[in-house]
Amino acid sequence: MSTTIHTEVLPVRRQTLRQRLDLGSGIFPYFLVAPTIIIIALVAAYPIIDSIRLSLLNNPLIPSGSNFVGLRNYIQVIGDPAFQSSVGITVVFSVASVALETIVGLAVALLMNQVFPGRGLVRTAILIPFAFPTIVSAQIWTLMLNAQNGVLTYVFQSLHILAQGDSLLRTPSGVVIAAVMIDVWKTTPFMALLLLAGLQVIPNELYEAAGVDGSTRWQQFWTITFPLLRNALFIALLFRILDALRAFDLFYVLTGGGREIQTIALYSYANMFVGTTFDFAPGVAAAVILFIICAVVGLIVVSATRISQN
Amino acid sequence: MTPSTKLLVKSAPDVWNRRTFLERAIAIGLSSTVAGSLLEACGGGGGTTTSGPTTIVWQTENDASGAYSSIVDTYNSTNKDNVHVIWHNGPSDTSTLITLYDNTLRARSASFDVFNIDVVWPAQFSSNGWTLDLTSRWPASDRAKYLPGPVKSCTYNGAVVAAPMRTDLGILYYRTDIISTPPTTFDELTSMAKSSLSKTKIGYAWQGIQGEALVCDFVEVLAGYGGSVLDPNNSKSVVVNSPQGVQALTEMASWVGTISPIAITTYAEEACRQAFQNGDATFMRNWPYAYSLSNASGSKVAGKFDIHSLPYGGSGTVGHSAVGGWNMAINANSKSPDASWSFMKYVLGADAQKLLATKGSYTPALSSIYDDAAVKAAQPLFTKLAPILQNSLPRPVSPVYTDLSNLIQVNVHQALTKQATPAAALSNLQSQLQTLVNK
Repeated sequence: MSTTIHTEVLPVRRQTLRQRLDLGSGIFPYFLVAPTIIIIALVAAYPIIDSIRLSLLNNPLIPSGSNFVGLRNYIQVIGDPAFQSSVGITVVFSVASVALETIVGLAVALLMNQVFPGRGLVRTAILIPFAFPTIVSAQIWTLMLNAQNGVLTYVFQSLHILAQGDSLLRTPSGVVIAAVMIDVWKTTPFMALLLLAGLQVIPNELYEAAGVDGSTRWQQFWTITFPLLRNALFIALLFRILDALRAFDLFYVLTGGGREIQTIALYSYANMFVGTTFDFAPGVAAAVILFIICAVVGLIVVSATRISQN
Repeated sequence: MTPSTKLLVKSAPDVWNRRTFLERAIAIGLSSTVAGSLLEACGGGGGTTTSGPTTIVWQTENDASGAYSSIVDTYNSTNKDNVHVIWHNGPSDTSTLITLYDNTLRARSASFDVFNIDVVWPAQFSSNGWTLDLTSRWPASDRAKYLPGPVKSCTYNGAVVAAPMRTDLGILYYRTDIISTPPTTFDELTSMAKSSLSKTKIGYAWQGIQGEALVCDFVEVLAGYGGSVLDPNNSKSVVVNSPQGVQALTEMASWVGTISPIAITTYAEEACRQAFQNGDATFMRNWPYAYSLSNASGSKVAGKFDIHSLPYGGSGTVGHSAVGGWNMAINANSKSPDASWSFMKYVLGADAQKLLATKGSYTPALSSIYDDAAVKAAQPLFTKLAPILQNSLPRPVSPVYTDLSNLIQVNVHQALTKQATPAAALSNLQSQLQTLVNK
């Protein structure tokens, strides 16, 4: 028996566009999916395209009308030190939180995949942090990290991690550390659950066979579990990275809406809705930049998945 | 039958007009905001009913004292203008409120008719065409009865664009059981606060969080040292990076981690008030609202504190308070400007202004309230406010105020958190502000 398993790959034959479009049923299938396509175009494609249009205007909010200014808003945003720092914060936060969530989530999923009494209860209980709306859990953590009477502040001060009268939320790096901590607490269960689903479809016979061949646990993990889990892992990573890049509510609560420490999403929100009307179009430009970053990262992860499959 | 289904069955045959819709919606538990938006979604179909009073919506900043709802209830039950007012209480965070205003007014929506704006917003709001010009409705003879500072803040480009409802000013609270004579200079404040640290955890509590309050605190210390943000004679000239500015910011930064906890840079008004009220602070800079709350039962400092004007420093000779406060404006898209003005006249009148003072310890805009014996008896604070009001100063006036405020906040906060030296922070602020006002 072979120890490697590959799903059957159908031989791929190059088809012309027409052949690919016509699957033998004429236009009828297209007619059936048309409503879905139209709705997606209205609720997803139109807002995106309109945002791009708005980001190229001078000031769409003044009654006297606005004129086309090309990429001026983009140049202004990219040159803004506040935007540059928001990119840095978003990247650091995304990398740190997703890396920690993946490692911890994988460990939790492997544990939950074992058979033990009370497994169903543990699987349910572990989801509780994920069930909270982010704005609520962020507020709970903010109260615990509060300078005057936060319980975590008290613990950190007792352990001499923080000086007396200090708070983790005082410095930008402290806020990012707190944000990573909260995000890991909140979304590790999500990661664990997606990975657990991937683990459950790995046939047990493989481990039995490997056991007969005398492999160690470590070898089993790297030769069976990890390769077969890769697809689930990529999907989970895609979800988490895109979520982390768009981080908004967590930082909004932790900083009390302050604009010294902000993610790209907060930067664009603050420009669009808190600043003056002159800031609106640059804010939209920042949102479009975030969209492009997310699209590029998404494409990279998806093509990485494809490559690893072949 | 549950009360809500009963209500629906009972009301089904009626024709619903705007008023009854709102009443019933509130009765079945829809918040008035949601009901208002539903009406808005109906395209204003119920806006003008032929009979019944005109309904207007008043959107305010957050009021926890109960004074605003008393004003509305009294007006609704007594007015002869045939107007019914629905009050929307606002979020406690001012930047959330301006987000609400931005979204509503940019969409040219009339989901509120009268709205309260921060004393620093009229220029920005009226330059966007969001507020109704009140110059002809509100005669100059009437305006003269109100405090001059707040009235001035309602004027933009020669037009009266709002009316002052209440003012606000920074005051120094101190514990009378620890301090016998209040400090007049920042040096005295610092040394008194330092020696008080054996008795309270915090020597001086002030608003170091990056936010609008920090702008007020900074402008106050700056004025106490004789400096200012913009040249008083030329609003296009930024003068914040002056020797006085450096002295002021160095002074503030020196408090962090000494007489104030290092995390003071995360404290807003409420955090300060809680610390003071729990007996944890000897001095506090805050607004008048903290007075009635700190004297309420349950407060550990009730009867043990007093107020004084803010200190000064350097070559300054008198302490200055930043003027805060809220002005009322009429939404330019309102369908009932006349009804809105009738209600505003009531809020500006003596009855409502007195209610603000006695119930909320708010400082009203009507000058005569400060000499009212009944008010002084109810809130002793008012016996001490007159000289502080005399020396109060507005924050910089600008049609792009929110951007200007943001730059001050970020740069001052960086100096307080020691990410930049006071001199470097001010020179940054100077160049960024100059670019902004030149736009």
